[in-house]
Amino acid sequence: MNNVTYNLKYLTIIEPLGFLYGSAGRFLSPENLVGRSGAKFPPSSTTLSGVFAANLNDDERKKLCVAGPFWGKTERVHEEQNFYVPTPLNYLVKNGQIQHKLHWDDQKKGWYDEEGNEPADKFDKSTWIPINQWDNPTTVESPPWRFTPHLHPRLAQDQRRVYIEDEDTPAEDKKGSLFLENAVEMSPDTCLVYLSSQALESGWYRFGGEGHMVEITCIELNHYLQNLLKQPIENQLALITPAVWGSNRLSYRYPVHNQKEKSITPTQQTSDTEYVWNTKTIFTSRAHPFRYRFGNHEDPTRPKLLSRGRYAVPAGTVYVLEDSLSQSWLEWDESWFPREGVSFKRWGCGLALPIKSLQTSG
Amino acid sequence: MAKYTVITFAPVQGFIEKSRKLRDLYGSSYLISLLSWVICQRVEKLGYKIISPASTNVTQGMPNQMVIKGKLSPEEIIIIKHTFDEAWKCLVYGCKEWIEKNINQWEYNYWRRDWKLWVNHCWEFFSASGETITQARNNLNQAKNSRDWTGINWRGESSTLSGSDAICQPLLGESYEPHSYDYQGEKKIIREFYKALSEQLGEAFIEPREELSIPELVKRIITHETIINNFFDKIVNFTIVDENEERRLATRKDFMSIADELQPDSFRDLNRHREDSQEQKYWTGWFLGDGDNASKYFKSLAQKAPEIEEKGLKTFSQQMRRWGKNLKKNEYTFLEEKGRMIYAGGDDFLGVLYSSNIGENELSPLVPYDCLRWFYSFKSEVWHGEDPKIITASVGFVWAGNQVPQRDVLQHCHLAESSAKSTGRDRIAFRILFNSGNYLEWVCPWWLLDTGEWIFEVENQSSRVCLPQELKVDLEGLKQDNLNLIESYGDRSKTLLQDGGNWTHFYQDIATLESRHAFNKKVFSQEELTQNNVIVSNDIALSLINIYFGEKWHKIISNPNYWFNRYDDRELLTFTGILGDPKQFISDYTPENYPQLIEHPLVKQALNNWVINLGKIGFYLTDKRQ
Repeated sequence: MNNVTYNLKYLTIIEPLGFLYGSAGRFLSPENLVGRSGAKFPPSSTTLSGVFAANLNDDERKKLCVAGPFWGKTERVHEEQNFYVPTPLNYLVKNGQIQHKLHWDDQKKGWYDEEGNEPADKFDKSTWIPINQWDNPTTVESPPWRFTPHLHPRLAQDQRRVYIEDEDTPAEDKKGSLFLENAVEMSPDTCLVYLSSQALESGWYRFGGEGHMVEITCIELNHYLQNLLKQPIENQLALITPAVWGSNRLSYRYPVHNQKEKSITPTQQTSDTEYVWNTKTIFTSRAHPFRYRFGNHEDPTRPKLLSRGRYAVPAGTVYVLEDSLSQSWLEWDESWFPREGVSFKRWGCGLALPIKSLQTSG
Repeated sequence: MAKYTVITFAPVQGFIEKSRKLRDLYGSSYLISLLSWVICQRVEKLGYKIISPASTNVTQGMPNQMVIKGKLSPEEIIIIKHTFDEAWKCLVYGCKEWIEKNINQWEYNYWRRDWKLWVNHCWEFFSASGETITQARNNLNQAKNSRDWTGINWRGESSTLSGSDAICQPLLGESYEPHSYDYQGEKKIIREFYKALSEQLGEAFIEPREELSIPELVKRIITHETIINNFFDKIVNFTIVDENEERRLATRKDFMSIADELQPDSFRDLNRHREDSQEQKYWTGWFLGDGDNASKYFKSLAQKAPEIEEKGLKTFSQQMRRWGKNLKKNEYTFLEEKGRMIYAGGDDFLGVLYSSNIGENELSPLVPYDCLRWFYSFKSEVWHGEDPKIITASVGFVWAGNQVPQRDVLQHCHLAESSAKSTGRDRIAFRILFNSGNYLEWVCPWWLLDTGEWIFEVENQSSRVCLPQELKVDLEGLKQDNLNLIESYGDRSKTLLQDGGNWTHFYQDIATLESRHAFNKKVFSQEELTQNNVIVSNDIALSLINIYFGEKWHKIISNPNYWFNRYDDRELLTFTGILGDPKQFISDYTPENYPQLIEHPLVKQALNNWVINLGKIGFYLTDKRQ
């Protein structure tokens, strides 16, 4: 195994020039009108990694590591490198405010708030906190983007006119001359933010599906962020990016020591699977599909290959461990990450920060 | 001290949502009911009593949370989980075997492993116990915080229905290398396979161009009578159903009812986007709703003794089960033959409105005005009827364009329902969903639409929500003519809606005034709001109400006392205001802030928007043409 040390040194800032692309899964077609339900935003780090891969040489590409997605208020990102990361799920948000910070109670084996209660209300989902308040967040933001259905003319491939089917088109290829894109509009003065090991030259790039243009700027991480990323994780951590754990066949909620595929059979998987962490508990939500398209820089004309479809533990997931890891994410062993061609660590999978503000009582 | 156990499984919403056809919705809700039923049967066999859901011998419309009297031992939980797993396995393998036997041009050498993975990893199963029902529920929520899923990875193109998971096809599992994937080759087999399935089952079950994953295929096939019959045979051997005990248990007839209901010749599926279809495509109306704040109601019970909590929950469950069963059984009466109920389980319900009967089995497509008028009596007749419910209900109604995919329609139903909930509950959100994906929305408390509500007496203890005395006085004049807000509309020549009144008059005024920015700003900056230096006026909006809906409605809508929800000291709703919960506008609202509240720019803006949206949505909803 070639153990590459990834480092996250830059902040990659993506400012949309107009709409962005917001669909996931299969492309729209008559039999796959994913529409609204296929909405997915912001683009995962694999999307940005495609932009990098197209612009780096082989050596640089091998060392590439990208993590995200995050977002920020453009001015604040440039000035003070402050941006927003997913709220840890044990912070319960309502009406734009953190109402409770739950902590794990070892004796009662449950999550409780400051007063020892179990809040049973419904709380806001998909909120974000500023990274410069990581240790003690007080403000919460909702995402600054909204989905806008956007009808496009389908252009003929060889002419500059709208594609019109003729009578000879076989029924199964009929598409119509319009298609619906689930475009994303970001509010002005906000941008997408990713962490990366390499820098791209500032400029305009195509980003995400449908070739939408964005302006990309890379700046070096300041000391606060560098230190935050290097802080060793003890026994409480929260993910700020989705984590893919498991074997090639199954995705899990915890990292496993990646064994040879054949030793994991469906019936025995639990007994055979060796978890990396001795976990007391996790606070998580349902699985999110995670897949990407392989770049093909040798022959860009060939259709891009789909990666294996996997499931990710969502960002915001909180782990409470029996034993201290004493390692920052950057130092985590690559064998904890699935590997197919390259290690999933290079997509910043499961980028985690320590949670200090929570006290385990008992 | 009494002890209780709660059992549930997941995912439910996610499972139902992955639907393309009406059949998928029926199939998935039936499957979930069936699995709940299996759990209940096992629990009762172990000698425990089930508090909720009541009437456990009905296989349809079962909610998926079981509240059991008594503390089950870990061994007993394992037995129940085992039964649940076995039942799911029977269902999945029933489908697999049916395919292998009936679509026999392939050797199914490779796919065994994938089916097995779906047998083992489809569901998350949770259980918890406590001294009281509330405590057991809290413990269950604690358990659910960690979830319990295992993801099944896949290779190649994804199901066209969910956009994730492998497409079920004869060579599934042959190779696991993404790099060696040959889509064109696979596509050919997929086409042949689904064509063969479609020929065997009929297009009502599967169309030749579909590409489904294993669980999606199971949902589809499970509604076939052979499969259900087969399942019943297996489950009889399975110890939880004992032929001798049949009077207590669901009979084969109960099981088969879904197959009868969905028989291709009797089941008029709404084929929503068939490309080759000659039949015209129509807009359809979808409604999704559930009871409001059931959990707050349970919480209020929990402050009493466990026995009272138990009794309250049981009564509640009985009432909801009765309602759901009747609704399903008498859907033709309830829906006036305009559509079908897809499920009504617990306090959840989903239905579709799409046609009206014009005699001898002739159906004609529904016009939006038919749907609107059906909702005029929803709360008083469909929800409460002769058996007034303890809680109110919120509904999301979506009038969807003929090209909108079913999954999107369902998502919009959820979003509309959550609009109704988040603006204050006990109301309906109307959404017009265009083929382009754009939509219009208007949210309205029931009492403005449902004149049946106005005679709903306070004396009736089962509902806490009632109209304030002063509002009753205000409604008095309207009550004589039974005119709700919409029907009070009179156009410029004072013609009422029922006499052919033209909504366009109101709509055009709104559009013109809006284009001239007559309704003030749309967006406020944080500074403007905190410094309180924006002034929004409701004069124009309220004048329009006066002109088109008359003085009586103007008096009601302009009265700030009717704008906001009122709650009792246990936080239970006592009156439903037009704009809903005051905390939407001032998050730390207390009654002392009332003067600030009614002058708050966001409140004034909300009222303006409410009138604007009424104008816009009414334009579509009062349409009497097809």
